[in-house]
Amino acid sequence: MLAGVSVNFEGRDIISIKDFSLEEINHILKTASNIEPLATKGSEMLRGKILATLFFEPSTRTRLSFESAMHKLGGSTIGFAEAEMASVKKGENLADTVRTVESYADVLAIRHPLEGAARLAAEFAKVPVINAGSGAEEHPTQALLDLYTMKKEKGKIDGLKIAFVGDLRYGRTVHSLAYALSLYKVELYLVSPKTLKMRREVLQTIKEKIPVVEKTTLDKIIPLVDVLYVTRIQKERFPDPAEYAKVKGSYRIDAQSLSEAKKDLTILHPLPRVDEIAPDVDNTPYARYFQQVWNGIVVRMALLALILGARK
Amino acid sequence: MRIKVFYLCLVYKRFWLEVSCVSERELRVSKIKDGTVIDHITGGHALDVVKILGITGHEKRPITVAIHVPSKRLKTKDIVKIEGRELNPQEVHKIALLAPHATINIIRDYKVVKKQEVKLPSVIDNIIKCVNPACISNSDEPVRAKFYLESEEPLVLKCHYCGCIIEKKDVLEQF
Ligand SMILES: Nc1ncnc2c1ncn2[C@@H]1O[C@H](COP(=O)(O)OP(=O)(O)OP(=O)(O)O)[C@@H](O)[C@H]1O
Ligand SMILES: [Mg+2]
Ligand SMILES: [Zn+2]
Repeated sequence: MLAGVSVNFEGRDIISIKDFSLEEINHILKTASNIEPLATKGSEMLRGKILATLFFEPSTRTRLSFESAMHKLGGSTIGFAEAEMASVKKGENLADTVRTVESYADVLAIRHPLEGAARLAAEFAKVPVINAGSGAEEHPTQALLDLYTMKKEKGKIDGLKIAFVGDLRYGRTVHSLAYALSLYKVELYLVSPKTLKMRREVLQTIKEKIPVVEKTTLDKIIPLVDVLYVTRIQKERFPDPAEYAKVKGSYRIDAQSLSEAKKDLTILHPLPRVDEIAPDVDNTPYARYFQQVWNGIVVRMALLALILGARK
Repeated sequence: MRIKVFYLCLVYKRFWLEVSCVSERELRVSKIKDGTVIDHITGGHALDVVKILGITGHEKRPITVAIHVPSKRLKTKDIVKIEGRELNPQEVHKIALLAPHATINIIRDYKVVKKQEVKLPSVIDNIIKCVNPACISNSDEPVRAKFYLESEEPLVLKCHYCGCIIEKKDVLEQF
């Protein structure tokens, strides 16, 4: 199953997408593709292994996805979610929590509100650490599942024209994904309100590698692109509610707004969505965001198998 | 010819001392016996260097500060001379953040006995804090802030933990 491994992932931390080369990312995607049948059939590949999910911040979906991936490979999971934090933490710092929990588990998946938390955890833990989202910063497994979805839908990533729409400043998934995409030969369109533009440090890095066009409206973008990656715009980001209402409306995707879309347009969304994609899009062939959720499990299975050194 | 050059040098040196440490003709700053001369400080940053070294002016020792004097190597430079004090490596690194071309001269018995060009290490450890309040290095963890040197001039540092970028103005605010 994992034969042909030229890149060794055993024991490795997954902290930032920037820690990975194109070759390594492609290897993860290939492994995911090989492992996908097991997501239906199940496997005993990781029997006896334990994943600890340490979620210092709520994110039911990501946590369930990791746990499901581990179970599908025959492993088991322990952990806590934000609700139980009061009893778990008692003022203990992350470094101590990690050095305690590592005795209970073979791999840790960590979500934390502070930026750089996963990197710090990895420095203290002897077992590998997977960043399940830290601060407004990065979410590498989401980027990998997004890439996997694009590759699966389109056959390859090179050559794609991709638009990101929505909150590109605070949306943590778009930062990791932008970095990852800049390793491929793609064209990127960044559509956001002025106040929610892609962060400067991300822009600087990706602009050196791929063509990037920044826009404040969706005008004429939809007919151009192969992939439309939509993100949520949060009300809290706007001091003025009227401004929020205006912005929100102008980025809303519905069946009508897709009338000039390419036939094989793929629409993705990291979920949860609020109303940036209308329900009438769900039944179009463009909508692939629920497949994305499935692919998330597949990619996390691949990562767990790789870093725990599973052999078939 | 040789004599003439020698003479010119003397004149030059003298002129030099005048502009850097002496208010023309009237006052003459005496040489340091033992201490440190920080030379080739990026023009305009002498007072920041003084601040980094925690010099308040209440010390009972002579300190000379020269700002924007002409320099061969730099367009203009600043100089700080401190009697009776030598710098520790931590202080030298802090100076390097603001004045990457500075030279530290150790003076003993009126003579330069050691000359060291400051050098910023590629990893800067425990000298400054991350400016990102949401960075894990600013929370209650047993770690010290750590940065990678991306560029010396203009100064660009990148936080090891949160990846955030720090510039000269951010560094100045911390000293
Ligand atoms: N005893 C002293 N008291 C005060 N300043 C001194 C003393 N000795 C040297 N300096 C100053 O220290 C700096 C370095 O002295 P040095 O004689 O090495 O000059 P230099 O040959 O121009 O050095 P560089 O090549 O670093 O520019 C000069 O700015 C000089 O004026
Ligand atoms: Mg000189
Ligand atoms: Zn930081």
